Amino acid sequence: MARSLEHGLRAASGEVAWIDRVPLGTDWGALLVRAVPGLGSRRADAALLGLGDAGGVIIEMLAVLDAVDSGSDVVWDAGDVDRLLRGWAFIEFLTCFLPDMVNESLVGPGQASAGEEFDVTLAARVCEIGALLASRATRTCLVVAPNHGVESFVTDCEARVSLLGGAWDSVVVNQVPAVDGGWPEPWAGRRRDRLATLTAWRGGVAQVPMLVEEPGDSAAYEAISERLALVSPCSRPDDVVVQAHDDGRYSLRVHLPMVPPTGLRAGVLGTTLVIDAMGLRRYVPLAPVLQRCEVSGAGMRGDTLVVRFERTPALWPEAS
Amino acid sequence: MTDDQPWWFSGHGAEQSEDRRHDPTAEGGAGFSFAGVRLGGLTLSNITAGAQQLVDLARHALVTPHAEHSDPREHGDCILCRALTLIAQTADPVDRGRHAVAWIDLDPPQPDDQRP
Repeated sequence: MARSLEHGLRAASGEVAWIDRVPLGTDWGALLVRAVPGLGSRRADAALLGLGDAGGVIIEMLAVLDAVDSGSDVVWDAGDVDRLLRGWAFIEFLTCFLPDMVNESLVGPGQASAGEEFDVTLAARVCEIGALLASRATRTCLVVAPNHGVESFVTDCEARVSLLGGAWDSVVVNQVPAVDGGWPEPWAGRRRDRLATLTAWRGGVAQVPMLVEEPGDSAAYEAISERLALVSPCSRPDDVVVQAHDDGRYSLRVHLPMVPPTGLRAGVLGTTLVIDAMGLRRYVPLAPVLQRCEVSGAGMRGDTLVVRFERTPALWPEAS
Repeated sequence: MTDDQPWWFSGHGAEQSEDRRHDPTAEGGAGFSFAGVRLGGLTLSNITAGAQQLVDLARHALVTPHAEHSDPREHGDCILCRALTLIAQTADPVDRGRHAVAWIDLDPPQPDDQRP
């Protein structure tokens, strides 16, 4: 499917850089060297291999960054949803903690070691990956089949990507039997009903008809690719907001649309707020002013997590 | 580092993920498009540029691959080992002191009344 989309996008918008999934076991070194200019060490190759799926996501995103830097429009086949979201969560983690860890490494006297030099570069690029994933200029597409349970599957995917601060701009429903295609009923009708449910529920839904012979869907995908390229962005969760209150307290508001409050946890790790839900974690760096406060409580207000902070007296001037 | 849970996962929902793998809809994939995105304003880009000279030095240096580090806890000088150790500790339900998440008792869910 992805390759057909690429062909369609090329026809619709000209040259497109294509980033495919990097299968485990391939030689990632060349790709890494290309993604991180000047990196001639095999250390990165070996290190990211050790990270498994998350390493693959990071490597592919490094390639995306490289293509974006060169001015190309880029299409990235991110593969399985779970793989993507795990990699995204891991990138969030690295974005929060890696810079400080690198800085700690560089505090010592003497010239930076080769490993430390690599760390600086990798940390910077990983932070750029996080920014690119969350960018409102990035379009995301979820591909599903209209099987039993697809509605709850899409709902779950919406909630999980929302937790990470993203959203699906479009949903492609694959293998939809045509009404007059001779497909057995009521099986075919149920698949069409599920498509109708998704279409009524949200915008940006495109369908690909089920074909008699597989694989034979290239033309169908190419036909919808132009529509996908031009899809309007779906609204992202609101930016994280710090509110200062008249009584000297503060609150941190994290918009989490569609994230079910049941099972949601929030906590603090050092100078980072950790939000735990649906098997994933979101890491929100605390603003400096909040780092001089203590958490006095938290809770969901509608679809927003509000964390309340009170000043830690020992960390504020007496006159303030 | 525990082997029974991914480092970047909370551990909750692991069964959910397993179920999803067997879900007939789990063919679901994801794709991204990045049209004309520019990150020139990102300060860290400048860090990358500044680090380039340092990385050139690294090209000629003999470094130990992280992949050879079987136990991350024994390689405190390796940034990836340190990251893996930290994330394993934060995912561990056992209190690990400095690296433990201080969980907050959440209020019962209520409508958005705009109060702090």
